[in-house]
Amino acid sequence: MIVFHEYTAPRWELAAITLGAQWRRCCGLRRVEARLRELLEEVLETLRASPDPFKVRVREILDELSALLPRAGLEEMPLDAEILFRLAEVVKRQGEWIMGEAGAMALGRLFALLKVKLLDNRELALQLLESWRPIVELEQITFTEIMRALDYLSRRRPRALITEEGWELRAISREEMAALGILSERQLGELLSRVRRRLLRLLSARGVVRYGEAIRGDDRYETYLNAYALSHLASLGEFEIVYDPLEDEYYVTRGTEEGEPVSIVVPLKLVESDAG
Amino acid sequence: MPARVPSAKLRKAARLLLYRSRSKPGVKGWELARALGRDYLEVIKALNNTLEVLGLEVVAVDEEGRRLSLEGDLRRALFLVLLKEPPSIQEAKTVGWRIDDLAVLAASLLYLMARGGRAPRSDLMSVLKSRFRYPRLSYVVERLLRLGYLEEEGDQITIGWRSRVEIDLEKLVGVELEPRGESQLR
Repeated sequence: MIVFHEYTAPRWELAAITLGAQWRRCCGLRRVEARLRELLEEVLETLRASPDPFKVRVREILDELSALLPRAGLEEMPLDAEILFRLAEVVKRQGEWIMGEAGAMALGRLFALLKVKLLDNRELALQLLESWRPIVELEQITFTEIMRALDYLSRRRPRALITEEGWELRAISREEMAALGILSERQLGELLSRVRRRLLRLLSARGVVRYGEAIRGDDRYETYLNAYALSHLASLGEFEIVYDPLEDEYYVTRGTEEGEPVSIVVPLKLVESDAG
Repeated sequence: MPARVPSAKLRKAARLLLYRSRSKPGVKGWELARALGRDYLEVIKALNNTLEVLGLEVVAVDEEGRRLSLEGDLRRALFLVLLKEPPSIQEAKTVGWRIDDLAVLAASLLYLMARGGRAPRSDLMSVLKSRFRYPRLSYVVERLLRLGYLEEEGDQITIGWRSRVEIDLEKLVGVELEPRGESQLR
């Protein structure tokens, strides 16, 4: 038979147990207090270091506070309240920050559209240049690329016209055309005046004329002469030839001062069908 | 103050960074580390001191084109040499940019930023066509796409990585457009 005797701890032992519990509790409280101080320091330090209130880990700190609270004593409550107060301030500043940023973003988008609408080409280019720092790099050619280029050139079929002996292919000047009797100075002057008058008449009615219509002549020869006259007038800046890539169509408008002059090649095959 | 770096390493780093080796400019951090050793960032910092005299700067950017500080692990970053100051209009012309082409790039970027960074190609082209009576317009847009200043995703045009690297977009607009990201140090 086993007899259980009730154990009565001696007084010194009870005192030791109570002291141990208090000691453990004291150590736990100290750890809680230290952690709370760390969290408060983190909130204050983050706010000091950056104006961005989103840098504070609000959710994580709140989660940690809710875990620490059951272990906290009355002495730690002011610290806990202080952290909550600071976090409330952070949330308020986050709201203000979002409103401010949204305003700035809307204003920025409006600014961007206004700049596209109002600034001329040079001003737009200057605005870009002020904010541009291009990449710097050196181009070079490798031995392989040289060999590939040589291979390509040797495989190319000759595209130049084969000329008979005694013939020469080159660009011909207006004076030479006049000297050869193909075009006289007087005829050219008349041609320019005629094409100019005709284009001004067409443009006064519509503002824009299709290229084919602008140079249309009674026959192919006259169409080509008109095209030559128009290119001369465009070079003088009296008219402008504009290409619409979406419709694959060339148009003639009055000359403007805007933009830089560029050379444009108009294949006459496209307008031959328009010629009479 | 950056550590002292042997001049041979500096020359090697300069050659790697300045000579173009593929269609997209720049050298990856891991390539620099392989060629220059573990202390490649110290070499880059020392090279920066040398290049500063010439008005150039080595920068590291992430995949989105955002500037990174020259600290920590940058093996996945792209290293590039940039002008330290904006070029003059004459300098831009000298390297082949026309005023009208620059204006097309500026207008495209401004329009895309106003649309939150992307827009359908047809919308962008109609805005540009209404703004520029310019026969080379399509050619210029294609060139900007080819150079990486603009990017194409399906029928959408977006701001290209090269614009993000080279152009201070907020300065171009004049007002801050995007909330500050943590990795954006510019």
